[in-house]
Amino acid sequence: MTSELIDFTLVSVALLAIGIYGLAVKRNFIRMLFAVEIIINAANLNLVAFGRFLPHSGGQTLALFSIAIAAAEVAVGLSLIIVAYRMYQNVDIADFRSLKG
Amino acid sequence: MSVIAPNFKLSKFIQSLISDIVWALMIMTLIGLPIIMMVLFFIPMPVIDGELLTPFLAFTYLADPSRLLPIVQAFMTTDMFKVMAFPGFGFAALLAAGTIFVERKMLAKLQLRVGPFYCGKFEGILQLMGDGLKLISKEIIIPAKADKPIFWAAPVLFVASAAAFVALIPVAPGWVVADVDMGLLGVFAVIGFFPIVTILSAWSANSKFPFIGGIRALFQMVSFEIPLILSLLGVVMVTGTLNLSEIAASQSSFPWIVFLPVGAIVFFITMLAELERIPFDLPEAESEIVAGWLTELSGMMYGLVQLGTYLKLYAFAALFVVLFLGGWNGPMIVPPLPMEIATHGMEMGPVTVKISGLEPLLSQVITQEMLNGTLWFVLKTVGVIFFILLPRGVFPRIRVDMLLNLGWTKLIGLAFVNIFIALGLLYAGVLGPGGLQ
Amino acid sequence: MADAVFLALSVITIGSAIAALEMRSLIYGSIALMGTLGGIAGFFFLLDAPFVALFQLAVYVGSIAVLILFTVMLVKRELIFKKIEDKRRKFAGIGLMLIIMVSLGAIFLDSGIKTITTDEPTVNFRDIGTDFVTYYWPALILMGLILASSVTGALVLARREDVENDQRIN
Repeated sequence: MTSELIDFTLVSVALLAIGIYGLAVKRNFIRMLFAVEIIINAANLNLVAFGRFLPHSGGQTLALFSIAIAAAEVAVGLSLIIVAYRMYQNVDIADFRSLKG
Repeated sequence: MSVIAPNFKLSKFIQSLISDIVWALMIMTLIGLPIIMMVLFFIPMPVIDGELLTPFLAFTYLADPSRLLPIVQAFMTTDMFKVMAFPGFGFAALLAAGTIFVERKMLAKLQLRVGPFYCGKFEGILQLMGDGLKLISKEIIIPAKADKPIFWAAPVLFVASAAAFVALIPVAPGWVVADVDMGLLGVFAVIGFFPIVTILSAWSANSKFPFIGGIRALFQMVSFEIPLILSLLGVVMVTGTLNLSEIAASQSSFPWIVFLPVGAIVFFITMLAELERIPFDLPEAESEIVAGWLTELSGMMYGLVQLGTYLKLYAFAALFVVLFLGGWNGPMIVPPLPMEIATHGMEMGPVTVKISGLEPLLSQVITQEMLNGTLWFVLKTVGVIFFILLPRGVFPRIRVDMLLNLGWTKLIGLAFVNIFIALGLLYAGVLGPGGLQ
Repeated sequence: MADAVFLALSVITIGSAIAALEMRSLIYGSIALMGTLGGIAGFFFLLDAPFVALFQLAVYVGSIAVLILFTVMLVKRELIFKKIEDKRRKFAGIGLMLIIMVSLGAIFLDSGIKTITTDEPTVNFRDIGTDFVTYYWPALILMGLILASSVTGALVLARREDVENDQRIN
């Protein structure tokens, strides 16, 4: 084990910042989903890294929960994308204005 | 007399052969040897046992078994040998090539055809080599609007995924490329790569039939991954480990198919679907969508995908053997190795020949257990491969909705039944601590 | 300090995260996202958590990446290559990213975790299973319910009533 906790934390911070940038700038629904995925992965990395350095198995357990929930989130998000695309024929979130259905 | 295929004349053939040999010898002596000498002049040769290793000394090493055998033994224990030759790629590719030939001949016999017949002296056994040469020499055609980087990378990635799958399979005790603690989980991770490569290859061809085939492959592989994983959980429960070597070693007295037949059947059916074989060969249905997601691939790219497909077939059959049929376990049928010759030498009349390097090689690397394990493993794997090939001549192809219905309702239900059988066996004390094992 | 494997992994992970958001084609973006997820799995291997790493590979790369690719391929071809964003917003976003990176990084570098190293033995992956069924069992059941309900919800959302009835004639 040559890497230290701070290294993993810094990578996680960088991924979090990139994800927030993507959420703030991109208007494409699918790219925003990418950004959310990147943020979730940064969080998972932090969980496992802190769990390794405590050391405690809770970090890995929480990361597994997080991965499973992220899978559900992606399934719902992608079906929302498909529904929205079917309605508006576009993936630009600026077009999804009408809430009337 | 046609121009394309002139009549064969033996004298002409021998004449051309002799002239080729003469030219080769001449080029080698006039150009090859000076180049080798020049290269040797600049390379510092190693000193072994106080002797400078010249090329001539190297040749004498090759002729002397007492010096050659330790080198062979050292080579056989390296990781590179494991990856390239025995439990890894070479062994699997050999079995895969055999599978292709046997499939063609067997299918032909089932359908009262002859199959490959002319290439090679006996029953067309050289057909495969001819096909390989043809595929290598063919032009690689890339569709004009294809997405070129993905299109080029997809066959290579397919073979790489299949090779990664092969690397996880234990062949004999201690003979496995990657002996990881979570081998079965690694198998699940590797299986997940195949649909990605398939759909990327299909999309990048930018053509109708590959895309339809790719979408079908995606449906099929992703939906059958779930019963596949669930059907293997029973074995994990009764063995209590994810390491494939330990799972194989745990079946020394009986294979798990005795206790978990439902899981074995579910795994076999999902295996057929994952391998895109008839009756589930919808992604490559040649009567509907030319060749499915392989339509636009040509030349050696098609050859690579075929190689990957058959490596995957071998790996799945081997996984079935390891998980349900006992892996390398079996009665000892290999006779004891001639250790007396290795230790005391061989007597031929007045002369006693003693080979000094043979004894450690036979007692450490090529042991009786290893040969016996490999033999049983290969026998079982060939049997499973036979049963994978058999439906191709027997069953018709089924529809997409029937396939998905089968996968999502019946197979998942049966997989849960299998899990409850395993739990019942554990709690009843038949297996596990206090039970049979 | 960090070793070569760690550096290579962090370059792959962060670089492909940027590429996932910035590449013109959404397909290539998805492939780059797969690179990020695989890089995170590599970090888990470095952190002696092979169970989580293989789980990440099986779930994220095996299922989620396939789902994303499939959705991207359903979208019209011109939309895959279209890039919708305006310049000023982008520069503001880059500024925001740098501010977050620098400030959070400075906080972490200034805090006490800089000196934390460990020689402790790694966590056995069997402990994770024990955790799941002892301390975290309500969470496990809740997660099962959430997964089931979300998958059902996704199926209901993506269902097409108009085509459905024609195809269901058996």
